Amino acid sequence: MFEWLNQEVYGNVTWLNLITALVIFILALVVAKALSVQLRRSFKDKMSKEHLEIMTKVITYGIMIVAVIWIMPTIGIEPSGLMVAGGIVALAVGFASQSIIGNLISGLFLMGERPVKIGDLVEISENLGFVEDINIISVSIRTLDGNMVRIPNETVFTSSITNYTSTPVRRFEYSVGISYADDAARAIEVIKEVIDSHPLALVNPPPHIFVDSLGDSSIDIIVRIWSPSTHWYGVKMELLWKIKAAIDAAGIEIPFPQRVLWYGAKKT
Amino acid sequence: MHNEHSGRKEGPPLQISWTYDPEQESEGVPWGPHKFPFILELDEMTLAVEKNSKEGFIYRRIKEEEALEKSVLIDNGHLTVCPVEPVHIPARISISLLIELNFPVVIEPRAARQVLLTFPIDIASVIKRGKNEGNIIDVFTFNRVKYSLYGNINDGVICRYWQSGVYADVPAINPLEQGVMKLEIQNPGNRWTEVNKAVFSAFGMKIYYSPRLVSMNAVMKISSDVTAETGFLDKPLKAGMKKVPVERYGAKLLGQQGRTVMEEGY
Repeated sequence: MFEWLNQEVYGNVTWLNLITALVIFILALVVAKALSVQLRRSFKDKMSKEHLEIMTKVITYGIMIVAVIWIMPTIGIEPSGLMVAGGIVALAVGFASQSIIGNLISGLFLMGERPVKIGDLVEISENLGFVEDINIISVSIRTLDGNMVRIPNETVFTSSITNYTSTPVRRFEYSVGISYADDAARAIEVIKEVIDSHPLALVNPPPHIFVDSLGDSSIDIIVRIWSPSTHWYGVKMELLWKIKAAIDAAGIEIPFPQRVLWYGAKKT
Repeated sequence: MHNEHSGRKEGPPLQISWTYDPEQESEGVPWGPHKFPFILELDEMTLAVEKNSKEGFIYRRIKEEEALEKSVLIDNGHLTVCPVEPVHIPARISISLLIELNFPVVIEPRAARQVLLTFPIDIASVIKRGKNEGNIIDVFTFNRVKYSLYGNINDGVICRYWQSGVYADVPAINPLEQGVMKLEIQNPGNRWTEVNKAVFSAFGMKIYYSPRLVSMNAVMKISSDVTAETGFLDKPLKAGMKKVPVERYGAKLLGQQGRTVMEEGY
């Protein structure tokens, strides 16, 4: 009944060999998938997302490579033969797929250098967003308006990268203008109280509040605040209006640009 | 007043009220457990678990204009209000606590000395039914929350910030706001050393509480002119204190032993 299994398909490879190879391949796929799911589940809270991704990918690809090498003799391909042919194939593939190899090598360098990590807020070749995935060929970025951008590793490697979250803290700045009739020292005090009341306006590095310039229409006070890199934007959005409200409440005027015109007396 | 009314039969919500008054000796903070339903007034805050009209209970926390409500789908249970590691508010900012001393402590060579410090208390509402593990449904604090950077801008650590005096005896503090940390400073070196601050990891914090006192027991070992290591001892400051029923930062995660190496000065 199953004699057809021993029937040769090509060379010495029978249907049984092909089915065995297929089963091993599928099993390896299932094992790799199950293992990666289990690893993600077990180490989700215990490792950084980036390390976990790298570990699961190495294990998944490792299992698949071992499985492919294992089934090669079964389907009539000798791995030792591949080694001889490998050089020629690599040359051909290299010419045919220069960009892929370029991306691959850039990917390896990026994984070594690690200028960006998953979850970082970065700007790469004019794309500003959060790094969602780093793989061997490309880096995926979720832009601030929610689009996914895939950037080839070669581009990432050769572009200048701004990483907004590589340091734990980040500074932002406001310029607050008050009228010449008001007391700048009192305004600084009021601003300081607002900053002190915000949990994420850091104690150290300390905030700096000082009169920066005597402008055309206002005394300009510069306010520099450090905040955790992960939360600076929220703090920046929140504090400016609170400062404005506190200054208003203290009876200090924030003037708008104005020009005083003096008219000469009418000739009689 | 302090009520443990776990045996109480269901009826109208029991109302418990507690206010800190440094002039008067009180029974201490009514941490619980409190059987549902109840209304608990702590200083200016109201915590309540009341029967929901449809199903289960409703948890409410109200303080001035700030109000939180959660529906709790459970037939019956208990709520314990207790201190937790002071790194929960706002969530996921930091796992470290930096205590800056109001004035430096100078330690002689080859000596170990104990001082008492204060630390901020974050308070958790822990829901529990029967022998199930407790679950934190809310965390709040009566303290002003501030964060700071320990170390340099490139690779420093964001920490919950607290300024403390240095005491020889347990200071008079509101047990709802502040706890007392016994810190043993060990200086095994040959030089005098001056301690201005200490950083502690939330992993491994061992908090004990009683109606009148919340405490931790910590050790700081000076390693060099700029390096020190801190850790915790699993014992209460006074006999009869209970260990907190939940440790969100129990030292379970990989690489987290509850010790902190301070490499940027102390």
